[in-house]
Amino acid sequence: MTLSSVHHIVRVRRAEDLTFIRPGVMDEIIVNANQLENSPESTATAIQQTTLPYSIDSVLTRFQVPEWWKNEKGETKRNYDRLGTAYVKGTSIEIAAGPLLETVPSDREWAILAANVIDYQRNRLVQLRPQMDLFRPELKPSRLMAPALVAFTDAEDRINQLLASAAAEAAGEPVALPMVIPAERLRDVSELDRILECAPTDGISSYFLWTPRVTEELLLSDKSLLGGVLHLVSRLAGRGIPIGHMHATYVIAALHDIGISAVVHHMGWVDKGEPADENRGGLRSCQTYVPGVRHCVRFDTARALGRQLEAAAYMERFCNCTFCSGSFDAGQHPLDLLLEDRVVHMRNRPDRLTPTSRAVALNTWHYLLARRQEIEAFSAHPAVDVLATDIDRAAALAGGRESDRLRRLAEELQTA
Amino acid sequence: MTRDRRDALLDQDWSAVWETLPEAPPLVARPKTAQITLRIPTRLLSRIKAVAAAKSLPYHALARAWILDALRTSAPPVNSAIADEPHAEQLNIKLDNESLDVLKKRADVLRRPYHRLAREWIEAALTREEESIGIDPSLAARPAIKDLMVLLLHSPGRRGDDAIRGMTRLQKLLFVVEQKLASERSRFYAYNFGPFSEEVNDAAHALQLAGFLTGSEAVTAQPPSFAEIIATAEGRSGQDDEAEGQEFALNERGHAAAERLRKSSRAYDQLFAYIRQLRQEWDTASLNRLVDRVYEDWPNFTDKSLIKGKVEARSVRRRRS
Repeated sequence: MTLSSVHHIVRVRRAEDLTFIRPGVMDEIIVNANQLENSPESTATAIQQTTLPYSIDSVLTRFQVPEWWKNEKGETKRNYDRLGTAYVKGTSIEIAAGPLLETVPSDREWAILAANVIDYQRNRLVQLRPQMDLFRPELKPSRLMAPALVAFTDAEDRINQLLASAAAEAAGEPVALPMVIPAERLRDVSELDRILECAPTDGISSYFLWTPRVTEELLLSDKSLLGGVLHLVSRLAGRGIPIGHMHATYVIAALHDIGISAVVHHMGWVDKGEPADENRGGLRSCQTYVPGVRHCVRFDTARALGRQLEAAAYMERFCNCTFCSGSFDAGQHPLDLLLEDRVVHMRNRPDRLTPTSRAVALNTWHYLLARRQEIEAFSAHPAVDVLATDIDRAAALAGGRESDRLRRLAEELQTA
Repeated sequence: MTRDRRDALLDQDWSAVWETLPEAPPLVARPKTAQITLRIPTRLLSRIKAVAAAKSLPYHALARAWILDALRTSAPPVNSAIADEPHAEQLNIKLDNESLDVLKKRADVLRRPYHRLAREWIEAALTREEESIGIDPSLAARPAIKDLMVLLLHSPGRRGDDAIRGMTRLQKLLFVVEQKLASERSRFYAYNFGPFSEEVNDAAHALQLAGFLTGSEAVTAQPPSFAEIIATAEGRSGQDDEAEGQEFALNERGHAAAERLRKSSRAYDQLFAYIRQLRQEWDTASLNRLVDRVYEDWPNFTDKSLIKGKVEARSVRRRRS
């Protein structure tokens, strides 16, 4: 069987992520519009320097429910304020005044909003360029994305349909269509069919599935959720339009054989089921991604699994990414760097261990490189073959429990 | 020809026939295109560039299109809103000779110099485009924070050292520069420690990613090597405890970029000279002294400050001593 490769897209959620974007580690980046509002200059510079294709996620869903755009003080953040102003230009919409569905008065204004979102994606990075960058090549997004709401009910389905066609018309070219489906509807095949009926094909270049709060563990443990994703992918695949997934876990990449052709993930290796959620600060937990078992574990578990392994065994079972192999070449065990932590003294709370900044940076590279290897494996080989190899690897590294987890996935895929 | 014949021809009145004769061919063939050079205010040029960037067009071509459009529609002359500003920049526009002739004729009819007419048409078209795109002209005309930062870091400090130590100092110095240039619609706002703009942090990060600051490597279009991976991690190893210890200084590439920027126009050359002077005046050895002066001179940016009382007490003590 010949497989087309999986297009690998990495999401930029904060300015720090820009240090880690590189060709070879990803094929493209998608930038959250709220992050773009915070750091347009550095984002433009990173894109120009790396020459990576980019697109912009309008994050319109953030305006859907007040709690999603307000900060802890209950105020609208400045970046959302600017974004909202751009999106409602030429309308009577007061975007941060209440739930979006109740704030937009007419279909005509929804259509203007969709056109504004397209305009934003096209022009945000070329407007107001500094004098020192005027002669650099201008930036154009690789694809335009229709705005979409989380499809809680039929009401959102109707608006999503309207937004998609208005966005395609404003763009003058086919647009990517995000389909944001909450877990409650994902479990119900009849609900999925209603959503699919409303998802247009005309003017659509690709579909991007988005299943908020569905972690990899939940997907593996709840058959109805995985069944819902499989149902969606197989039905959409019949339309002949490429399908991407916005939360690229190992399980999702394994769905390449049944129709997933692009995956998007952010740079955080702790799976919270939120593909676009911004980092709200706070101390990081001491967890690292273990490619040998295809999920993240706590530092002490990672130490127990891999620290005693010599270079050859480590690279065969634990990880053989550029960082880990380079570390052995430099005479250092990679886990000594990846698991570096420090004590943080907290006011009125017990002291806490947190990874050092250096360990956070190295874990980011390690995770990106490992995920790249997984996506390349699913691009090059049938999922069952990749899984068979990974089951053996997980068993060798961590024993039966970890390999059983992957075996369950293999069984599900074979049934599908 | 006989003498009589020649005299007869000279005696004849040819004036009526003269007008019917065809034009003599030029001795040297006229080029198809000609260039006109318009002197325009710096602010106008920045606005043209901003609109051109938004429309993804070269700004010379856009200005030419506006002139041709005005000729085609026989646009009326307009009164310039910025006629009093010094025309410090020049804009070279290539026109075909036919269009240039029409422009000159039109200017003649309207009793205006053709350069002035072209400039007015450009200004009128620019205003229309800004309205339709939604660009605020006052914002488009001002230098970007990134440009100001590069020029600030290119200027020598009081000790002859061009590094700026700490984000607070960088924020405050750029705030002073912005306020001294034009204070309306400031990009800074009152925050926890006085005037603040996230654009400063963003611009500093952009210079770092471009590899213009000392200790920074440009992000590249190559997959990362092990050495680069370690370098990015080591670059962050100091961030755990000492955010204020960061030092901002241009490296060789950064200074070269700053020189290119300075030489990009007369306005930027003048801007650099002004920023250099401001840095000498404001970049005091003591950060507290700089903060205190900023709080004293721009109290409306200190409303939300968490250290306002402390700064005021310090200023009172200084005045007493």
